Amino acid sequence: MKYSPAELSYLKESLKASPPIRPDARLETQLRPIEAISNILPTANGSARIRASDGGECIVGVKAKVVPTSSTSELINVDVEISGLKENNSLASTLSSIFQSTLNSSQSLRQRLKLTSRFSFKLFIDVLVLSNQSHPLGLVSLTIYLALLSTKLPLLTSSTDDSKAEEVPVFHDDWDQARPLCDIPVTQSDSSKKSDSHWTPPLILLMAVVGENIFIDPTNAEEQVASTGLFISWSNGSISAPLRTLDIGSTDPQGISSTVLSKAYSIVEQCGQEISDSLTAVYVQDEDASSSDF
Amino acid sequence: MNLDSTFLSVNISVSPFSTVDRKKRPRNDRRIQECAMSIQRTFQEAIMGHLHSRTEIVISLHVLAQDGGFFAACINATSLALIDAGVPMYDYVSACSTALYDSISPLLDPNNAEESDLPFLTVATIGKTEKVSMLLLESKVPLDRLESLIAVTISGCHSLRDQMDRQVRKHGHLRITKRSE
Repeated sequence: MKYSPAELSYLKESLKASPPIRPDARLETQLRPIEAISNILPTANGSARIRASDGGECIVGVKAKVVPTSSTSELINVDVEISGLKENNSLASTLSSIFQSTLNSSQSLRQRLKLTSRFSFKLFIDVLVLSNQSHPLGLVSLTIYLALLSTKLPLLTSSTDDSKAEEVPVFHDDWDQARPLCDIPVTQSDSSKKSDSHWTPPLILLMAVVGENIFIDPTNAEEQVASTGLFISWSNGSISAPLRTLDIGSTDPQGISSTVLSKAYSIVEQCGQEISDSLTAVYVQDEDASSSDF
Repeated sequence: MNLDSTFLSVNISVSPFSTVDRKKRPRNDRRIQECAMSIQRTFQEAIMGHLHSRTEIVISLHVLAQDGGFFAACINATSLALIDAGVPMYDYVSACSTALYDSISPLLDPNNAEESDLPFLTVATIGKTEKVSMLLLESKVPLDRLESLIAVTISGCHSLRDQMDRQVRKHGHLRITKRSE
């Protein structure tokens, strides 16, 4: 949506103020309401759909395929399609590369996809953005997180050691025996029980910088007056790589100061765990509902 | 372009995860383009285009999961979406497919495996009439079987029309009760 210079200046001043005033009266650490559901697609190993309150909608399907480990360098393939834009659109390819590199750099995910000494699962994460008003990075990240939580891989019944003789992996026939890709994240209260092998998908949170203030989950209007966008990843209960600036369509792009960076850190530390916990709650609820159907 | 009528444009996108084996289809896939074209032509006749002249209606279809009846599902979804959008139409356009097994028995609504082995046709009708607004047959069928095949498909279309009507009324009722609260 187009805003007049007067509107933009009013918006910018109120966001720059201390404490800042967001047009929808949200806190700096507050996300807009979303509607999330997991496990919606029968033909995918894991799937999720998230609708944002501004009409944005994203669907993610995760499919796994057995491949010889030597044949592929990247075990996770992320493909983003944005409805209404061309296939080789720069926004879609930027999003694909951000998620692909973040997920592929996770050593424990690679470990989990390994089947035998010769074979691995390759994950295909296909993202469909049906509509978006603001930058879709945050929405896509939440949906990928939920889809990966709901991903189940069939149980391997053949031997895991095929270093001497090549053996094609054989899987259990019963889908109920499938193992989940991720561990259900422990809530903050019992995080002491967390083991080293514990893995949950990374969340990438998008923020907009206006003056000395920084806001999570910016709306389209906030993006326009922002000096730059910034995203930080949150995984396994702590901030992790990547941390990057991103062009979110600002009308007046500028650099960021170090105080903003530390503010961004504290925002993600405040809300990262809460976001992953609430998405986990959605998954657990959907899982209970689907198991009670039978 | 006819300026006295509404212009329909149809986009179909098939997600790579929609089938059992992941397959990425290019957006300009010939089969999908043909499908979009047929939908556009079918609905051009079904909507009261003269009421909204110089208007474009964009129909976006996203196929998330499929196991047979791809084309029929696209038509039924378009029909329901146009009703939801409040576009004036003469009646529901309902579509259904039928396969021919063993050159004798018709099988209503074949799945992917049946579609790949058996000849099948897709028929769309307007309302509960015998008027066929679209017929698609891409494989060989004995001519003397064609009539019974079409008859079975039309009866399938009619029962689908009833189903759709029931759901639309249920949804409309829900909306009205929500508004009056």
